[in-house]
Amino acid sequence: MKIHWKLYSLEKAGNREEENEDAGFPILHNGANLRVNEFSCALADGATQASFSKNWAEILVRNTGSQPDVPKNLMRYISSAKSEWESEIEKKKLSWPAEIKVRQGAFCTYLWFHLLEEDHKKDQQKWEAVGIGDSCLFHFRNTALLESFPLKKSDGFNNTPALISTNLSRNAGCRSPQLINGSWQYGDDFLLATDALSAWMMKTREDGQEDAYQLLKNRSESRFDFVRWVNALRNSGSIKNDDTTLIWLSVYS
Amino acid sequence: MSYNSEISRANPTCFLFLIDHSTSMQDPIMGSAGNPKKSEFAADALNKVIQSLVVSASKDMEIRRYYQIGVLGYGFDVKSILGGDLEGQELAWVDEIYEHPLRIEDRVKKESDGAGGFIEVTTKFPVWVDPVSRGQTPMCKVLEKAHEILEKWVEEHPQSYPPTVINLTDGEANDGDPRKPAELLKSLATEDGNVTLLTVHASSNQLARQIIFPMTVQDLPDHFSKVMFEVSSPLTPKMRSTGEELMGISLEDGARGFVYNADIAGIVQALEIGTRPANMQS
Repeated sequence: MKIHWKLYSLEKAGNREEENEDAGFPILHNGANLRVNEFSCALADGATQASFSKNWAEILVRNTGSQPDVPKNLMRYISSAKSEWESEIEKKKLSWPAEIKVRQGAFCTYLWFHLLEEDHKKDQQKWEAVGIGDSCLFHFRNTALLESFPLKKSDGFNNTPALISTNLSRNAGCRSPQLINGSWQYGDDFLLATDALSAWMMKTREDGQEDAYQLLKNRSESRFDFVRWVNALRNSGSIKNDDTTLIWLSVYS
Repeated sequence: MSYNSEISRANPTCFLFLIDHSTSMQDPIMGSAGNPKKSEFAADALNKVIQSLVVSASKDMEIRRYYQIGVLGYGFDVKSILGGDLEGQELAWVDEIYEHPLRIEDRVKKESDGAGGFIEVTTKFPVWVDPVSRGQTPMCKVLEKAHEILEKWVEEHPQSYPPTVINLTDGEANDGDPRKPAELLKSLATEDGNVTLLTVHASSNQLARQIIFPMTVQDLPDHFSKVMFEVSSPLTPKMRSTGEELMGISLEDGARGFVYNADIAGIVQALEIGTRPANMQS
């Protein structure tokens, strides 16, 4: 299969670029075309109220974003990512409030996606995903939404999504993460988005005023277009002012 | 008027604490001889709350300017009791507060040793305010002073989550009826809502019934508590949900931000409910 890859990320308005706590993996050139039989990627959204969540989100997606066995071994991956996060933090000279924050733990949402092409002659191929929190996967075929995961409706978004933490005692929910699998065809699109854009996508579809898929496709031709469009949505109050990330995967034969 | 504004560096909020310094604050809390003096307990609780605010504004390697904080003492006189390098400042940014405690004490506390026992651990305890108990209870004057400070603040921060004022006292105002200055203070507003005024009344009597966030004035036993009920704002939705989470009780719309005859735990909980950041992001 051939995968066409795009990843755009824009920090919250008013924040510095390096304060963007969304993390996606792999890091590829936008517009890259990859010929592979199997492909994984991951997206995480670091929680603002905790410290060093950006580091945590980055380590987690880096350690799992190219792994095919995340559904089976998520807890093991979390545990090794936690060790890596701790050794990164240990190098820093922390103030007493920062030390307290570190003890409380870093937190992020998590979405892992895996595509498999078993036999290129088959019509239906398999995909699977793992999701914790409100970063969402959308599966489109010819502009029709076939699946959204783990959330389905815009009213499912709130200020307390499920999160993965470096504080392992806070990860009870990760022992049974939400899993999903489905089938895909050549020509399908898979979108992974953090909460602000995911909520916009669902709300726009629910309101039925615009074709959200087509609109997003048109506005994500380049990073420049995407940034301008997201800023316009923020200014009009149509999207939450938050770090905003989109991964767009198109699959061809 | 929704109390929904996100607390951010662009739109910070403000916490102003009013702390009773009257002579009766040197009596033991809940009137029980072994307990710490009310003034000592109040100062300790306030230092812990300020510490929590500093921690919540701590992000990675910096302290973000999400809040301004002020502490007014009222007793012998009415003035800001922030000291050291912050002396004379009515409001200080949370990072300045972090930078300038009066001192950092070593405190010993017990922690679980993981094997069913306890070990004593020395922890750092920053101190910003010291206990004082001298004078009367000029509550009207301190409410007027709070109004003077926050009138300017709301003008400068029209889109911010509105200031929260927490009055920690053990007695009646003796400089007039506090309802009038309290109404004036509560009438101050940003686009997001009015100033909220919470009252935490420390108990002087271990047998007194603690009344937590009452719904109606009929729930209260005497004139003084009825006045303080009227002085206090209704809890915001976020404060109600924090209260429910911490105390496991249901708090309906209209419950007043008022705790009467609070015991030690009641004071700590009320302070946390009032200061848990509303919707802090950025």
